[in-house]
Amino acid sequence: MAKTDEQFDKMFREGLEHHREQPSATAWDKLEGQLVARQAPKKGSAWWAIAAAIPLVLGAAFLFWSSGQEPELEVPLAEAQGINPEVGTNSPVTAPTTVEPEKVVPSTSSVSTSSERAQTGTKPQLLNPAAFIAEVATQNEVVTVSIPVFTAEVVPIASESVPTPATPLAETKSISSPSTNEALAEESGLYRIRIYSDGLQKAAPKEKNLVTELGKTVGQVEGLLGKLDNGFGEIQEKKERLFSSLISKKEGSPEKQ
Amino acid sequence: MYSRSPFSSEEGLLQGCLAGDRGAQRQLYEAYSGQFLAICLRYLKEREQAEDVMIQSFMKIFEKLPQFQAKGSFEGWMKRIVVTQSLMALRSSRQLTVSLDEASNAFEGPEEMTHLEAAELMELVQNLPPGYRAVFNLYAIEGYSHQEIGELLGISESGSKSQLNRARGALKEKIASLNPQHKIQHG
Repeated sequence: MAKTDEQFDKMFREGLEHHREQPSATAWDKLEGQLVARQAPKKGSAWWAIAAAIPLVLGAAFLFWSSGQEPELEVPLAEAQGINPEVGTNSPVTAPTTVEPEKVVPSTSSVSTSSERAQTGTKPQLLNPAAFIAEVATQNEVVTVSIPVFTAEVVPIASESVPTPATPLAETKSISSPSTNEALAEESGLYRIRIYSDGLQKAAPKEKNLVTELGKTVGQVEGLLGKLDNGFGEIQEKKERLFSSLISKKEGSPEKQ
Repeated sequence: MYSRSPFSSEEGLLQGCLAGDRGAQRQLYEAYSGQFLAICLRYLKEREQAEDVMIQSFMKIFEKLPQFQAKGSFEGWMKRIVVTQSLMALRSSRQLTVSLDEASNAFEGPEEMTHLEAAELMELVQNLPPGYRAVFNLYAIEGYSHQEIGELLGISESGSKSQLNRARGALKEKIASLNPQHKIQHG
């Protein structure tokens, strides 16, 4: 029984293992369509990723810009600009005149920043923070000379005014040394104006980098997509050629039956 | 990128397919589509469905190609994919609910049969109930063991054996009834 079963199976196996069935003419097209479709999502997803990234980045950029610009338009700066030219021009002359010391100190400190601002106000974004600090320092030195009475107090302020550009960072990005924080804590009332102005200067260049980097990557991806499109075009062309050759073949030779 | 038959060796063809070369893919299709469709048709009676499964099998082959290890035969590896895809299609179309009550009188076939050629054998196999058909194909033609069949179909080894015997019985009965003059040589 086992032997006959084996032979029975063998009859089927030998009869069928080399059997072929002709697929329909459209079978390859279906397969090719699926192969193309499987490759397509990669292309599509790249586009979707870019499409999704653009509004996000624009939104982020808008937030950065708007948060950076608002302080600049705020009243303190306008006041400082209004007052300081007077103080700035007068201070070297009128410094010897006895003004209330406590009021002079803040005014001098504001002179340094505001006159700074008045000078560099035309193109603040191009300013290097280091250069800014240097200018602030020199200006403060001038002021300290002009008010000899308060040299002891003013000099620390002048020196403290150097770290102050870092304090906005400390607030926004939490990168700071404790000493600057302490300095800020002691004299926080005097430095409000600076916090705004420096914050703007720090934020602007970073965002510029972000935008240019994004531009670069978008450019790269566009190049890749262009290549993909070219390849796809080639495939289509070759497919058409194949079809035409197949059709002409079929017409030329009688079909097998 | 596309050329008619640039791949003279199987290795070259394999590399071409791995690289996603459409010409290589086409060549592989041309070489094996007939054989694979015949396999699918042994498991799936409907030609349209069988062809779809054949196409799916090629997709699977191209997809899994990086996993192919050149230890065994490439053709054997591909055939196993085709068989697996066919069984999955059988299962998903709920044809593979093998019951022992599947009657052997479920045959419907042409009345005229002079000898058992491949086409007739094919028809006989196709007309088996799906469960018997799967077991008979796997064991008698593909050469799987009962253990492997049990794992593939989710049945016991003894279940596979009994279904094979029933399939044979049904086939013999059908051959005898269709063509009384034809005597199975070994039967």
